Amino acid sequence: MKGISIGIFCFCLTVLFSFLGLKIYRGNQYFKIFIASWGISVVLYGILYWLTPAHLYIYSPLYLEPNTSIDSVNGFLWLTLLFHLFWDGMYMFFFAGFSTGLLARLFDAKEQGLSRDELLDYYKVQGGNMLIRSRMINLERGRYLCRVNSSYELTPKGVFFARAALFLKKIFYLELGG
Amino acid sequence: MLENVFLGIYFILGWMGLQVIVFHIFKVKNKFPIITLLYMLSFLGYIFFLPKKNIADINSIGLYLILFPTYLAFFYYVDRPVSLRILIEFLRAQGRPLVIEDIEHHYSLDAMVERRIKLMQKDRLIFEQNGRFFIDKKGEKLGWIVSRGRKFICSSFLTK
Repeated sequence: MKGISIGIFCFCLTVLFSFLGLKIYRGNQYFKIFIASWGISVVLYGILYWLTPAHLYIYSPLYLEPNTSIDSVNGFLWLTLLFHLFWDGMYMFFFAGFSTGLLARLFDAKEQGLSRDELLDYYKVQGGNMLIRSRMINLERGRYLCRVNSSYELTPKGVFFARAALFLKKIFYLELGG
Repeated sequence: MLENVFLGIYFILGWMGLQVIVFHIFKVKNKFPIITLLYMLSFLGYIFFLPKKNIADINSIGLYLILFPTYLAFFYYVDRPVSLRILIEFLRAQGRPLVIEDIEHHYSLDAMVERRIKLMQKDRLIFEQNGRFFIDKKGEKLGWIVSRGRKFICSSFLTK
């Protein structure tokens, strides 16, 4: 239980560091905050695992994993998987989630509600689709797309991800989605 | 512990394979209930076949449980992202360069919003009345978390 316990404790620290970082940070590459928080927590996990006794002063021998390598990797896995879920949840709920954005707007509208056109207006910019335009900028910045005069085309990296996405959509029996 | 983990891997692979087969045979549109049901069955099977070794059980059961939301996150990475859909539209253009308007034509804002509205209505998070959408009781708590959370966490970004 030592690995899991320290892993969960360090995950809580990751959450704390992330929130603190987000309040202080002034850039717009939020992922750096999450990665840095996770990195610091992993280092702390290693130090705490090395410094503390196997029983952590609370566990009876029945709850101790005899193989410390397995125990430490297990704890690290917990820390990483929980962090992944936290990161994913933060992006889905607070940063990039489209559905959650609509839900927040409907919540703010209270009993007045919103019509379909009012919902659409939030995402319109200069007659176009703000969502697609912002994603295109990110895709170009991430080198999935490259600009050719006023148009765009896929880079080899973009082709790989597009093919992988199509393949997985076929496996999962999904439509084009998005 | 390792034998428990390997047993877990077999069951997880079995669960993933079975759901893909079910999706294709029954042409399932609403996949979440099937994913959850099959996961629960696989979890019961895993518990049944697990060699009883106290601490190793707790470790491996914990990992088995945490893999479920991780898998769901992966599943929705494939299904929902707007960015992936944009890349697919480029692939469908077969090498022809596209302008933003081409993407907007094939993948319209109306369709994007409509799909989300339908999903949220189906999940009873929102409802429609006289052409206007309102948040439902079930969606109110989630709406509160998202709205307040966005204002609290993203306040520094929103003010820029």
